[in-house]
Amino acid sequence: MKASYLGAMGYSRRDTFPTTWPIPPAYHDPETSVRSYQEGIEECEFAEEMGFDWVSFSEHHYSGRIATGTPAVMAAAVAERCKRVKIAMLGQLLPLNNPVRCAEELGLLDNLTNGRLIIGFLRGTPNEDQTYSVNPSEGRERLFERMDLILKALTEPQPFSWEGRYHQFRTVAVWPQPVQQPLPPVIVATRSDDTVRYAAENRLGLGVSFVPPDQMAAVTARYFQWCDEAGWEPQPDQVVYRGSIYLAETDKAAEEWLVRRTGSGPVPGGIAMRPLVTQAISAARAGEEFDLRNVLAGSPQGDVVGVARSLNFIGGPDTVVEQIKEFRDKCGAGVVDLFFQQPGIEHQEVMREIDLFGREVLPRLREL
Amino acid sequence: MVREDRGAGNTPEHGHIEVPGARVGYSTAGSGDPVVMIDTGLWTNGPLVDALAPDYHVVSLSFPGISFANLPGSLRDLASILTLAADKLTEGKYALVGESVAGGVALWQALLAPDNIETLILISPTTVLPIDDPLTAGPGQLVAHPENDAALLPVEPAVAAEIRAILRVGSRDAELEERFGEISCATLAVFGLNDRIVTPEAARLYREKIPNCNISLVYDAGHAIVADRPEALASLVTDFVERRETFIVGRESGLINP
Repeated sequence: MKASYLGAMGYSRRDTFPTTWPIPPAYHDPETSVRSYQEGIEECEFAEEMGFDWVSFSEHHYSGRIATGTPAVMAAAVAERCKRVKIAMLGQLLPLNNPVRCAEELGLLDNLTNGRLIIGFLRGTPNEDQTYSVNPSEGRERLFERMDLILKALTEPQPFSWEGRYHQFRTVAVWPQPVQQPLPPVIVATRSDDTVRYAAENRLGLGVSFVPPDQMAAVTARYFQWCDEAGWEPQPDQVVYRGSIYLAETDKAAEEWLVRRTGSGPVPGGIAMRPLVTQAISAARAGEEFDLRNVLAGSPQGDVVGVARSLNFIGGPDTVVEQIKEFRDKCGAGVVDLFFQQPGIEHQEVMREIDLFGREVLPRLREL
Repeated sequence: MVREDRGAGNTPEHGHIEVPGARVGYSTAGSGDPVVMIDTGLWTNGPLVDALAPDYHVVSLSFPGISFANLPGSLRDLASILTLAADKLTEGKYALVGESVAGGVALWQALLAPDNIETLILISPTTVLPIDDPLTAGPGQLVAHPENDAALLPVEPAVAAEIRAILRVGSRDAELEERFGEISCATLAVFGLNDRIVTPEAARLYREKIPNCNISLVYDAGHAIVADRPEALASLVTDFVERRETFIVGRESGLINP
């Protein structure tokens, strides 16, 4: 298996950071913010030094937890410091962005990294749609059209015009084209059947985030079946699991940390969201109709309170290896993309975890 | 020579015209600068004609409504006949639209009558890189979405065989391909991204070989683009007929609140 370090670039002072969305800009302290990005880049460099295979970036808005609203900028900065790892854009939120711009960023990144780019397509959650005032009920259709357009823009050698449902571009001629031919590896992050099927039929990889192994296994089982029907077999690198992690020297130390965290501020895991947002996401993944037009993800006052997800990997090295192995065995995952920057975990602690992961976990993942 | 069924405004709506070697059925709609369409009869081009007719004089030369004293010896010979028919039915230069298996004859017309043709529009042309024969396609094969099969027209096997022979379907016209570079008019080649009859990757060959050729990909459309995305095709074609090469210049306002 391979390991990926999620370059979340979270704002420091995570212990006192509110779990609201959006984060009011009033919380922003320039000195802390600059230091946070420098520390985040150091973590990426150290992850590379300790043997991680990928460093990943993910587009999220108006949040200090994963503070990369423009992930291509962050990826370019890290790519200049990390010379070996794959740079994984996992990924751009396609319903929000101009797809030609996305394709241009991806083409340029593959050139800047001399062919180390991995592309990820994301739909995002309703709160992300709110960022750019995109009608969330159109998210699925926008995603499909933009995936098709980006793939075409990165592979078509002649200028073309595009007559879409959401886009009309009369001249598309992306420069530079990717170094990797015919296309860098592409991961579609989804659990929705129609999008999983799209990945299978287009011979693209699959990414699943933050769910227990049994839930991911149900998704990948369908993915593998549809890949088989499409006449191909995904490679291990094409099945990616993203999860949250807290790694300690021992299970006991990890449990003690978790006890200390419980009831003392933000809980580990994902960003808290309103129950209506969670319901909308669940409905979408179940293929059910859900009127998204009134799903308010966060008010200008940032008054969101919800139930955050639990950590996916927690414990000492032996336990974490077994937890990751379960995703390999049950789900066919070949890459695990790890979010280390938990609430209450500051930079030096993250560095300690990366070091421990590199020494005690990664060598054993290689054998899986 | 022309039998006319006159419609409103003394515009002939249906008729046929005699030219040396053939009797060519046609229909017309609208008034204005002429647009000549070579229809294959595989589907109705009603949405396209409706979009063009308010501003253009649309003349459709439709298979299987064309009969010949003797089968044309080549696609080039057929193009000569259709050029004569188009000349008789129009005044001045015209835009020429050739779809699917009629793409080849439209290309020959552009070669043979460069002074007559203002613009050339090829819709799902099967002239190069065909995968399958649209005349024998099964249910759902011509469209991206099976429910859009309703827009297709039934073609009897005998008629399909006749069209296949006339248009040389399945036969590569090497001379035509070699002469793509001589086509000088503004050209647009349109492909559905989900075309299962001709790969949309063929589009780049037209772009590479025809000097003034733009290519357009229609998202979520199969071979019968007019069946899957009628509005998109109509918008694209009318824009190109009107503006030719400058159709790439955006002119939609982004202003929300003045």
